Amino acid sequence: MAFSLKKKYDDLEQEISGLPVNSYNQLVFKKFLKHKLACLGAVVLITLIIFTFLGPLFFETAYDDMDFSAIFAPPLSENHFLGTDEIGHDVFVRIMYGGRISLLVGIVSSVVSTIIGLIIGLVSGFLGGVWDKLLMRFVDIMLSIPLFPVLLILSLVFGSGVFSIIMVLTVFGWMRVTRLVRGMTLSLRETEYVMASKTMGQNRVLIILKHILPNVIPIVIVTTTLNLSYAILAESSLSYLGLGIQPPMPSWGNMLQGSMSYILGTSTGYNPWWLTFFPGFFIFITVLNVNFLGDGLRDALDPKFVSES
Amino acid sequence: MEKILNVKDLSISFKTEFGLVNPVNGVSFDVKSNEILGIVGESGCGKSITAYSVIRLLPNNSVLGEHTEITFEGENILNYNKNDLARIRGDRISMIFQEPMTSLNPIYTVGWQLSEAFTLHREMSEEAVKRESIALLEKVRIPEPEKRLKEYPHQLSGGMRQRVMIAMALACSPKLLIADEPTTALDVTTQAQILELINGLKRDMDASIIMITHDLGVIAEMCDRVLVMYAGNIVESAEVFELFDNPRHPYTQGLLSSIPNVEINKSQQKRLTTIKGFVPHPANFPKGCRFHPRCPHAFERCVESNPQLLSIKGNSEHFARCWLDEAGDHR
Repeated sequence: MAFSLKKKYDDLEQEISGLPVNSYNQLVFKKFLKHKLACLGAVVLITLIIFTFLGPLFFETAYDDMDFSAIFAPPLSENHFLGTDEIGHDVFVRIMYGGRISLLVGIVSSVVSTIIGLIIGLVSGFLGGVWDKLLMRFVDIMLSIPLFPVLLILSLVFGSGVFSIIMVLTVFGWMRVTRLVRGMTLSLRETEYVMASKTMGQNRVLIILKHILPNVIPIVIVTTTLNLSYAILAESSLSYLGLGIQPPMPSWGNMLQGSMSYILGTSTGYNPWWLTFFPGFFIFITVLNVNFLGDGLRDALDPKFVSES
Repeated sequence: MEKILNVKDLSISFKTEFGLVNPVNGVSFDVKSNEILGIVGESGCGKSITAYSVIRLLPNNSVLGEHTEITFEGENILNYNKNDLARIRGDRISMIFQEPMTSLNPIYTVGWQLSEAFTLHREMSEEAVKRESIALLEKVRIPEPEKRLKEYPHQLSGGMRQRVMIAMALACSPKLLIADEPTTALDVTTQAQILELINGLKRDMDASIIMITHDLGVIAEMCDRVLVMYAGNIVESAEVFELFDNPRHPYTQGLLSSIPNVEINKSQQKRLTTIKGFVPHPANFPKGCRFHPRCPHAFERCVESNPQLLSIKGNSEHFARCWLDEAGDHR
């Protein structure tokens, strides 16, 4: 709502003056383009998403197809660009399918948990008083629950699958965002422009939406990107521990786990390094670029640095 | 003259961890149409919360006294619900704040912030909002208003932002404007421009203004009538010339004598007079007259009971809260 109103205003401005006007969004975009690493991050991530989600459409091999004629084939061997594992799974295909799951888990759980955290934080900070105390104690309780034992139990109860991993990471991922947003809301609530908006007769819901939310958003976006890398890593470590995605369905994490038995070489002294290297490399690239992107977004969205120049 | 605002027996208490504190007590005043009423006093006297109570913007832990009545244009606004309040705020009563640096939202353009008042209270087309916004900026004498509309608050100077604040407050031609130390954060020349601007606007717009300040210079320049507040009470109220010519309460006298004077001639320079001590915390106002611990004229009666606001002999518009006046002791 806040944005639509603002957009209308910008359009109007453009119409009347006849000149192109740099709206807030345009300024943010310009600033973002100046941040080279962030642009790199964005490009790499978009490529990764296209690669993992559209890539498998061009390959006839499925992630669980086994090629017994090529076991432990090294990278660049015939038909197997990144080699195969101990039962002839094609690593390249599995990287694509595994990336789908890792990225899906990461993006969905971090976005949903950020939205939950944002709403609870805004409510808690703006209402204050008893509500604030109750919600913050709840956050404390959630934060003090150790994640891994709970995950163990949940994976036993619900079975381990994409949905339950997303759910668990969401349920245990919103608290940091809440604390952050609540703190910012507390200070923004006391600013004079919020007071001024009250004296103009603005109601509380619209004050939150128009004056507080847009000021919190930049920080929240950055936290989302950090949460995203955290979620991808968490999925990897869960799968690595055997609690996440179960073979034969691949994820980057469980591909790493599968390779663990051969990390010092097979019993015959053969060392299939590519089984460890490629999943690890893709996790690394993803998390690194997500962090680049977050960094650039933070700089671009910070209203204090947005100017015409 | 017609009374636009009438405040009767205003008492405000706050629930705090020290129990109920009562920073404003038995304050009654009225604002006539088209006048500027000054409220003056040291920090912590209750000036600001008195003004906030008029627009019902007190913190949640505050309680108004049982006998408090606030009548604005003939209606008791204490009976108003949230929607009624939202309707008059910004439309018929609006407010200017002290700190122009933080009173504008940094992420919106000046034009957007000005349009907020119009969209809240007036049904206007977007072109009309734009036209009115430009007219407002011209009214507060901002050069190149069309360009300014597109700028963000950080691109404006302090004085310019205060003008934008004033423009926002004036958007719906309010009948009552509450100015909470509007010039405190500005440098002297800007201060003079802003005061002159407010004065001119009052003439043009037929509005009344409550001017809260601790600067007696501002009072002398701007106001028609003055309330002097001390520790949550009105201690003196008079027309502005009367107050400066004939201050009756020792606190007012103290304030007037502690204005620094600029004297180049060495022999005429004197040490700045001050009022000793501090304003007491609302949780422990002294018994009796609240000013007596700092008053040079205090006697037994002042310790025992707090005097009423008494009319000064020979002037029905001049009141002071002092036992000396009842005793007929003319200082």
